[in-house]
Order: sequence, then C-alpha cells, then structure tokens
Amino acid sequence: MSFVPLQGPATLLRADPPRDSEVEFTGPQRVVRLPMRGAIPVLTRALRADDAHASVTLLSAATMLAMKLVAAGRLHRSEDDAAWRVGPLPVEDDDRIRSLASARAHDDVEPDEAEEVIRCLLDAVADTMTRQPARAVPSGSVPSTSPTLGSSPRPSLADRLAERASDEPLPAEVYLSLRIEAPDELLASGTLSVVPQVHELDVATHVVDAADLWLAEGTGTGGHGFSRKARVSASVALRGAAGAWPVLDRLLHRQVPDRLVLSADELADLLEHGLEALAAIGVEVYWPRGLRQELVPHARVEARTPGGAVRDEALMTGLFGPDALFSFDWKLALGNEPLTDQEMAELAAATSPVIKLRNNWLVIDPAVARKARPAVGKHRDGRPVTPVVALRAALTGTLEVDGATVEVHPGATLEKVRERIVDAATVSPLDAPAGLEATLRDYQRQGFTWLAELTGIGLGACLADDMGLGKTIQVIALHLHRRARSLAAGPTLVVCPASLLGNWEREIRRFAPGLGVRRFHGGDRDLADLEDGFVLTTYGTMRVDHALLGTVPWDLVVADEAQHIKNATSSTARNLRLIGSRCRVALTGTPVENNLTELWAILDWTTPGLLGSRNAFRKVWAAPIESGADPAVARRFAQLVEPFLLRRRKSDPGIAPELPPKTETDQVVGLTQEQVVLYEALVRESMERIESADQDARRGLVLALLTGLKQICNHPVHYLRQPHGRIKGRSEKIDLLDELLGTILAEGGSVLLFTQYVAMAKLLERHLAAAGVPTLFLHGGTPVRQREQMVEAFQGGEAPVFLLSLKAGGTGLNLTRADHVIHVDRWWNPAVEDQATDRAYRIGQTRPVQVHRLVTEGTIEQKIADLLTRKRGLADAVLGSGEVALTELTDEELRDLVVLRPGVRRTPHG
Amino acid sequence: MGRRAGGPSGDPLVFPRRGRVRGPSARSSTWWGRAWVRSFEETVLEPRDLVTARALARSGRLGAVMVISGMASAVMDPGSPTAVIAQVRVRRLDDAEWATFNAEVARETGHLAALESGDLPAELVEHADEAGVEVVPGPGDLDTACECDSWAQPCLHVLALLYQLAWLVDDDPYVLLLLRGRTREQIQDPAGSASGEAGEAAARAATILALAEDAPAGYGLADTAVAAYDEEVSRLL
Repeated sequence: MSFVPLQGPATLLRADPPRDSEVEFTGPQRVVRLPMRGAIPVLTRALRADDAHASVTLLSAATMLAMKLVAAGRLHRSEDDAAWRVGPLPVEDDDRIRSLASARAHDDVEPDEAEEVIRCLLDAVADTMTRQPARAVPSGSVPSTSPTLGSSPRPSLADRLAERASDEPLPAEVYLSLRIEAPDELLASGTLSVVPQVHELDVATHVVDAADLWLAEGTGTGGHGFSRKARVSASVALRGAAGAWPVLDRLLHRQVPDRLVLSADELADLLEHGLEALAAIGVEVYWPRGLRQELVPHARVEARTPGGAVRDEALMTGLFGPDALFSFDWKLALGNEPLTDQEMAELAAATSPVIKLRNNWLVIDPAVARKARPAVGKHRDGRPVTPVVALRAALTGTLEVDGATVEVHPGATLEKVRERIVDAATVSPLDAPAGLEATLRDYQRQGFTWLAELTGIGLGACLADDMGLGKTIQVIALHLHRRARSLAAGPTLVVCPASLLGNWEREIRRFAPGLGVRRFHGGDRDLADLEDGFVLTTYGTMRVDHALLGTVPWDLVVADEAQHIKNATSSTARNLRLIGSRCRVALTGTPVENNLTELWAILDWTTPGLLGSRNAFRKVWAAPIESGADPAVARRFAQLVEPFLLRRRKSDPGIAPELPPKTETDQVVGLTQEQVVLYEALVRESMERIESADQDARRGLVLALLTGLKQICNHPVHYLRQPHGRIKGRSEKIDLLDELLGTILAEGGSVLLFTQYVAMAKLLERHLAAAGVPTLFLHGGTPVRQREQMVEAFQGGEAPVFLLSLKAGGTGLNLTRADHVIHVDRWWNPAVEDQATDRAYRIGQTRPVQVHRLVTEGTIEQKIADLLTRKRGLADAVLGSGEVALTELTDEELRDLVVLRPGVRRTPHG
Repeated sequence: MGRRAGGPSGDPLVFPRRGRVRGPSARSSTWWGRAWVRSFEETVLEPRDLVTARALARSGRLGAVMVISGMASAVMDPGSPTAVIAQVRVRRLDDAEWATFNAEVARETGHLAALESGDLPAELVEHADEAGVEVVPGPGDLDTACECDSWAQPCLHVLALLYQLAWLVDDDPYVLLLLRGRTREQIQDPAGSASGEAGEAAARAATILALAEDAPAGYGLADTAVAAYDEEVSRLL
C-alpha cells in the first residue's frame, strides 16, 4: 500500500457493519480501494501532504477527529450490539464535527453532505479501532429498532440525528425516597417493609425501585431509564439516609438494596425519630393510603351552661361575657369518630405501632399511642376554659394543653360563632343606618358591617384602611347602627390626636347632623349631661382624665390613629385600658400588621386576652414567627388575627374603582395659645391703623394684615421670622402634618406640599430634615434646569416629599408620582389652588389623588374657606383676582373677616 | 473535598504542588495510608533516610504529583538547574484480579458509597485479600526510579514522593486504586464504555495520535519513512 494517490478525489464506501467500509483513492493512472485498516494509516498522514485533494483532506481530518474521540473514550456499542459507534457526544464535539464539515466542504460536496460523510467515517474508524467486533447478532433474532439495519445501506442524515438524540446519556444522578409496603400478612405480625426508590434529579416522576438499578437494564422498552452509574449515586444517597436513620445501614450490606422488613421496634424508631431525621435530609417516606393519618387527636372546645350541659341555642351577644363558660374534651378519633374507651384501652396496650382498629390497619405514632394511656387520659374530660381561650382555639384550631399544642375542633355553638367572625368581612352588607346623611361606598358598607358584626358578638376590631378611605364615616355608621338595633346603651368616646379633633367634629356634624358632639378637651371641659352622641378627646387629655372618663358607661370607645397606643407600657396605653366600654374599635392608617409587638398592643386593647399576655405572646407567637422556624405558627397566627383586622388599600382592585380620582378634604386644626395672642394683637393694632388710613395706605395695610394673619396661622416662627426658632408644639398645622405624613409614608405614598411662602417652605424643610424625611424643595427662584432634575428625582422615587412654593406658574411640572397633595396654607384663589393640585392629578396619574387643605379654625383662613365652599360662584367673582380684591372690602366687612371667632378652642401651650 | 478522582477518565490525576507543610505530624490518617507507608518503609536500609525524606516531603520542594494508571511521578525542585524526576511504578492488578475486586465491591451496596465518600472499607479489602487480590501494594509491587545519581534506591526524592502519595491516598482511596491500574470510572462501572474493549481502543487511538504528530509528509513509492509509518499504524489496528 505504499503508493496511494492523494491528489485525486477519495470516496468513502460505506458498509454495514462500519468496519467493512472502504475508501477509494483515485489518481491519474489508477484507482486504489483500501479497507479501513489500510486507509487509516494513509489518512492519518495525508493532512501533511500539501497537494492532497480536498476530498482526501476531508476524510483525513475526519479520521484525526475520530482518533481523538476514540482516545477520549467516546464510543459505545450500537443498540443491537452489532457494531461500535462514536458517541454519545457532548455539544462541543458535535460543534467540532459541524465546523469541520463547513471548513472542509469543497466544490463537489455541500456542508450537509460533508457532515454525513464525516459521521460515517467516525463510526467506521471507531468500529475498526476496537479489535473484536461487537457481539454478533444472534442468529434468528430480529434487531429491534436499529436504524442502521434498515433497508437502505446507510441511514439518512435525519435518521442519524434522531439516533443521536436517543444516544443522549441516561441520567446518572438520583435522589432517594422510601416507600412503605404493608401487605396484610406483615401487618398481622406487627410490622411492614421499606423499599428504597430512586428519582431522577429534577424529574421526580422518573422513579424506580433502587434494586432495579442493579437488576434491570437501563435502556430499551421497560428499561429503568438510568445509566449504570446511577448505582453510585443511589449508593451514596442510601449511605446518607443510613446516616440519618441507622436502621437503613442493613441495606448497605446487601448486594442489591432491595427492601427491609422492619421489626416492631424499628418501626417505632422510624415513627419517633427516623421520619424527622430523614425529612431533614430530604428523604421522603411514602405510606400506603389509609395506613397513616387517620387516627387524629380529637379535642373539642364548646360552650357549656353552668349546669354542665352543652348549650345548643344560638347565643351570640354576651357569649364572651364574664358569665360565659367553655370546656375542653380530648380524645383520639378515627376519621371523625372518637375512639371508644375499649378502643382507647386496646391502643394503650398495643406493643407494636401497627394495630387494627374497626377493621382497618393503622400505624400509630408511639407518641400518640402514649396519650391514650390512663395517666394522660384522666385529664380528658370537661376541663373549663375561659371564653377568650375558647375563641383562640376555635380560630387557630389548636390549644395549648400542659405545654403541648393540641389540635382542637370547636363544638357546634362555638363553630357557629367562629364562622360568623371569620365571615364578618364578607357577609352581605347591612343597609346604611337611618340618620346617616351620606351614601356609603360599597367597601365602606362592608367595613361598617364588619364592625357591626364583631362588636355585635362583643369583640373588638381594628380597622386599618388606608388614609382617605373613610374610616371616620364607617365609625359614625356603626354608632348609628348600634342605636338603630338597640344594641347600644351609652355614648361613644373617640380618642384621637388633637389635630384631628376638628375633622371628627366636622364629619360627625356633616354625616350625622342629628347627633350630639362634644369636645372633651381644653380648659373648660366637662362630661355633665351627656347625650347619646359622640365625645371627642385627645390622647393627652385622656391620659390625665382617664378616671373621670372611666365613670361614663360608654358603649363604644374608638382609638383613632391607634399607633399612639402601640407602646403598651406607656401611660397613654395603660390609662386607655382603664376606660371600660361594651366594645372597642381601633383605627389606624399605618400597616400595624408588620410589627408584632405593636399589633399585640392594639389588639390586646380591642379584644383583651385574645393574643395572651405580652410574655406569653412573645413565647407562643412572636418568637417562633420571627425565627421563621415553623411556618405553621405564622399561619395559625394569621388565622387568629385576620378576623380582627380589616385593612383595605387604595390600590386594591375592589376599592380603586370606587374612589373618585380626586378627593378634597379640609383638615381643620386649632390655634395654639401663642398663635391666638399673636393673631388677636395683630388684628387689634392693624384695624386701628386701617380705619384711620387714607385709601392708598389702606390697601397696603390690608395686604400686610392678611399676610401677617396667614403667617401666624401657619406658625409663630413664620410670622416672627425666627430662622432657628423652635418648631414643635407651637402650631397644630405641624402636628397634623406629622400625622398625615406618618401615615402617607407608612403607606409608601408620595406627597406634594404647597405653601405660598418660601419662608414657610424652609421651615418645613428644616422640620422634616430633623425628622429624617427626605425632601425636595422647589421655589420660584429655582433655575429651570434644576427644576427638571428635581421633578425627575421625585418621579424616580428618590424623595417622598416635594415642597413647592410657587405660584401656579410652575407650568410643565408633571408630578404624577404624588398621590397626596397638602396645601399648608390657602391661596384664596380656587383657580390657582386647582392648578397646583393638578400637578399631581393629571394625565398619567393612575392612582386617586387626595387633597388635604389645612385650615385653622375660626380664623380668616376658615372664613374664606367657608366663603369658597358656600358661594363658589360669588367667591370666584370676588376672589378671582386674588387677595387684592379683599382690599376693596369696607372696614366692617374686613373686621368681620379677620376677627377670631369667639369660642375658638385653643390647644394648651406646649 | 479534594478527593474526587478527576475528570471523565480520571487518568491522569494531577495534584498541584504543596506548599511547606507545618505542624507536628504528617502521618497518614487512614489505615490504608499507613499500610501504603509500611510497604516502602520496610525496604529502606538506612532509617535516617526516612526522617530526611519525610522532612523533604513537607518542605514544599516537590512539584506537582502526577498519577496515572500504575505510575506516579513528580519533579523535585522544579525549574531549578538541579531538578530531577522521581518516579514510582506500582504493579497493576491484571484483569482477572480486577474482576475479583469488582465482584467484592458489588457484594455490598455500601462499598461504592464508602469509596465515593473517601473511605476504603477494611471489610472490602479483607474479602478481596481472601479472594487472592492484594489491593494495598506490598514491597514487591513497587518499582522506583529517579534521575538523581544517588546509589540508594529508593532515593530520598522517591521516598518524598511516596510520602506525599500517602497523603493523597488518605484523601482519596481512588488514587490508590488508580496506582493499581483502574480509574474511579472504571471501578464505578466496570462494564461501562471507558473500560475493556473501548478502553483498549482508546489507548491505541492515543498512540496513533502520537505517531501522527510526526507522520512523514511524503507519499512516494520509495519513501521508507512512509512505509514504516503505515506499518506501525496498521499494527495498532
């Protein structure tokens, strides 16, 4: 063979088996046809010949690749065992074949064709390199599905690709689970067997008995579908499982880890320790249906009459009153049927976890079986429990008994109560009560119904709707409803921050004009001759006067902005607890549910005892939940708390469509003593000068007066120009602003804060900076470029508060991120105010916008505000041109406008 | 873990150079590591050499250790003008012996798992021993060589290599089994593709690739180099 022509075309002549292929080299004079054994030496050196024909170089390069693949062990027996082939190939080798094909394709051969030639040659080389032919096909047996033995001598490219897919290596990595098999004959001897199974990693449904890996074939129909190497992975997994539960060690000493028959002791050990240890390393244990889980502790909590019989009448009110009695029974039950004493005795006497009860085989946890023994059993009947414990048990389905958590079922009466509580937020809503001069939105009706349901059972509630959803009106509706149903006897007390007193009073007068409202606040407060209406007080006053307040037989006590009592040890919270009432409602706009301690403080006030004492709460709920160790605890806690907490977000799908795109609220606040003194002094001095001034001077004096009054209403520091003056405690506008911002920021909202005065804006900026609230501040002097940057920063969420002090001229400002707009002072020009508001409320705004206007009570601010709301048309005419119009008023009209309305309540100083 | 026996073929295994080893002891921590040490310590005539060699093994002077089927080697002071190659050859178990060993491995499911976890079960080795297969080499199974001109054999360089091999064998008994001739893959799956027929074909293909590196470029009738090459290659087919 020493002379083989390389300059002419060479052709691979395929054959089956591939080792019988030949290569035909053509030269100018002759044609040489060589078997693979002769061709391989030629082809391995042909790459060195510079003038070799393209078809020779193709075959030569393919031969070298084949050698590399064979050297790397990438060859296997074909399906029918008749030949050796290259493969299975990793992706990079496949890529090498394709790039070789496209690099070596030549004039007469397309890349596809070249690829096919290469693949055939690879197989031919592989088959030649192995000395003995692969096992000969047994005579008479028909090769099953080999594509290589079809009618055509060579399979098509498509077939070869399909074959390659079936050459994909079988999975070698497995994880382990255990299957319990329990035929009756084993059960009768008090035991059962464990079968290890292996699952393909990530394909849990590809599962076979571990023994199959040793005993069966991986490929073909009926094969287990794992590679032989899966045995290694299975052994390692089994060794790990034996580390967790040593009984399995016996399997490791077997040639084939097929199954273990457990002794009674081993079974008990599995139930007591093994299951947990195996679960910890991710080995699941599968039980036959019915063998487990049907014998459950069955504990019942039920209402009882003092005589001892179970109460069966549907009693609701007073169910949780002091005379209510509940009791607790404990038994084991099969399905829903409690075991008889006889059965309990059998269970207690059983020596194996396997017992037969009512014709069913059961595997009982030894721990459960021990509970059936007399020492435990003596506690089983009729233990009394307090109403609130019964309620807790009904809601969570568990009860703490002797330090252990027991699953309980509420008895029929208690179950009815439980359903009523759980369904309270979704029952069909009540009609709005008579006397309510407003149309409730659907969610408000739902919320008021929920309050009515819970308070109707004698329980408290925490309404935690977002600000702006109308918590006040829901409480007013509740008040009216309780009277209409004759459930109430006594007035309602509302405790709120001082800055919200005005708002409460206004809303009650507006929505329930027939009701009495009294502020219990300030110097001359008293509770004499109370009617059946509302009494409003502040947290500060309540703290001082709780003894006096405690003498009133309140029907309902409402804590508004209930986060004020989140610290249960504060005197505010402690004293509030001392004020008795039939029921309690907490209102808050901040997401209290995120802080367990605060949530406890609020719910323990509304429904005392529900969550247990503070220490018990930490131990039973807070600590396990915060550690995250047992998700079931968090779930039970949610079941317990959820019925008493109603929180609707503005963005909830059911709420948003009901909200008007823009809600405007006047937030009425009082003046501090300091402000009153400043205000009255300024009015007195200015009016004297105005009345004696000539027309030109008069105009200037009026404007100066108006400006001064507005500054005083804002803040003494503003009027007195004290750039470093103390801010806190000198203006209720600041207090209210703190309340509003606290809620808005807790909701994750953004707010535009408008003031006419740069000085006021700076004051607010200083105040908010001290509180750690990031702000942006834009005023008339801000350069345009910087304005744009600020707008971008705000829209991008960099700061939640945007202070703006500019006439509505701030055109082009698009601040749609804001969902709240607060006007710290009034523009007295509705058009200007609307334009400012529209910064937030404009195209692109997807959330409803709430507009809050801060108005000081009894001052020029409120008088103009009244004028604006009552006579909008007139106001437009009068005020269309702004404050200048006011200079045209007569002295009398002006005095009427600016004088502080008598009887204005003043917040005590400080 | 550092005890997994390398890539797909597990042969060769290359263990990077160890830095200076400090601390009181560098004794083997496993019974098979200690058995390995005994196999060569017995043959050394001068006990002081063992002390010196242990210090040398811990000195950081020995380069990367390469282990291939039946052989291990390392360079002392690599990169220096005095660098020498030390080599240890271990008698490979023949196919019959491996078949016996594999049968012993297969006797208990736990054996493979133990090997995978870096443990060489004493029970397995005892049973193999009873069946006539000595897994841990004896003094007669070792053959050593070194480029240095020491008259003693094994020389200090080889002894240092042998001590380092003891640590490697401690970490992974598959290293010991590779010295005896089989890779981790071959032991895990004796019937698998990388062994037997395919394994031999792979070895021949590797040789052909090496020959092809220096294949002659000519193709003439009278080119003896070509004729010799063709003959050599076809002998491997």
